[in-house]
Amino acid sequence: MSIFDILLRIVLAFTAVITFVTLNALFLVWLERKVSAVIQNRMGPTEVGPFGLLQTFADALKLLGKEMITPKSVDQYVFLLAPIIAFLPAPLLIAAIPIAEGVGVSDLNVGALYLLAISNIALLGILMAGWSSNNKYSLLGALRAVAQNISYEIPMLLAVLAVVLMAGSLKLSEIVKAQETIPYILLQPVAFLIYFICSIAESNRTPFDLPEAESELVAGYHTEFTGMRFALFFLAEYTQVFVLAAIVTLFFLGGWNGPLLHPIVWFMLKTYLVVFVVMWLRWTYPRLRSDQLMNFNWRVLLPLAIVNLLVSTVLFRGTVG
Amino acid sequence: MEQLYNILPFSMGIGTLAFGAFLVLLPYLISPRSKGRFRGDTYESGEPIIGEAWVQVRAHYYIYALVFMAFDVETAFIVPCVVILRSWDSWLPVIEVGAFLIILSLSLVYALKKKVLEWE
Repeated sequence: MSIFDILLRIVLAFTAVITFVTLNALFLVWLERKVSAVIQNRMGPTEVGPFGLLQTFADALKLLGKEMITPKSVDQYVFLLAPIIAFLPAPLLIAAIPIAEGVGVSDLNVGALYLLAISNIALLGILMAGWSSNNKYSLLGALRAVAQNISYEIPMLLAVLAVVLMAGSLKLSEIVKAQETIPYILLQPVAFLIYFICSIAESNRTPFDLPEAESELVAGYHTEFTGMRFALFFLAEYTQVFVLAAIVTLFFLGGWNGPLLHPIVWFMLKTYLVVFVVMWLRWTYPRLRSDQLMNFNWRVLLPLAIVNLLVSTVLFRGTVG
Repeated sequence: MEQLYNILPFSMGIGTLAFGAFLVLLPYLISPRSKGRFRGDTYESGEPIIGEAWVQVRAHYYIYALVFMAFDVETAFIVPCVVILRSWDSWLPVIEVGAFLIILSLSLVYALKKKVLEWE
């Protein structure tokens, strides 16, 4: 295989992934608006295209034409770089998710670890954005985001480890293969709950949306960002929602396993169902207080995750050998 | 072939940075510019700005960073143990890793007892 072939493959894969990231974010913004509308007894977007589906395309175009305002007192280079760094993990994560047996850009042998590690790059972007803005709201939002993200990281990893323990591999396709007979949500219900809660906290969504609490912090860490820079944060956020749903699907809901329908259809159905549940939670629950959020993690989730891992190790060891 | 797929996500990182830079720079060509006395001011709900945001930050968050370090390193050690658990043919390693987990969990008990994770 020549170097040209390799480059061609990389360019193709990159184009596919970027297209998916963009379309997925546009679709999810539309879905979010529709879901919130239904919950609040409104219509949501209806004018542009069928069911208002093209509304978010129009919004994206509008954002392209918006003025880019860089406040005087910001830290120039960090301010410019922050949205790009925040967006960096989005395509990297999508590239590592297999959609069906052998379908997808790549299926790494350390897939589970890779996904959890790479998704934290976004946090660096958030911290850079909050710090460089020289804005009190931004700084507070970013500090909250960091404290919350690193706290919820640990129970999340431990919950994933309980699944890895059962599957005996970090490779995503093998984790799915291990669930052919029974999805892990039935064998590891506690790990599922811990993972789900933590991943919502990691994506900074209600009830854990303290970093961008609009009633106190205006918009949190992206207060000073306009136009396309703001759009990059949005792209990153909605891709993260998709990725969290995809990970829940792969680890707990049996991935692409399912009767009758095509595996890709099953994977997408399950993933977008989880996305819907995440949105449903966002529009029905109020926001937690900062100390409640931290206490819940360190006093409830972390001990629970450790006990869960220990118990499942002993049980699994007892049944296997 | 296998190796190619393994480097693919990383090589995509470069492309992503370029794409992000493109998206950020593109509006400079097509977007309008405006001028004004307060155009470059930091947003503070429309009020006159009071001081900078770059001040000394409360050290409370530092404690979370410390506890996080302890547990993150612990978790990183457990990852390989968990993956190869199937191939262990005795209970001894399980007990050893379990003891490791429990000893490190004592740091959490200590932190809670010392009330370092409490907000006042």
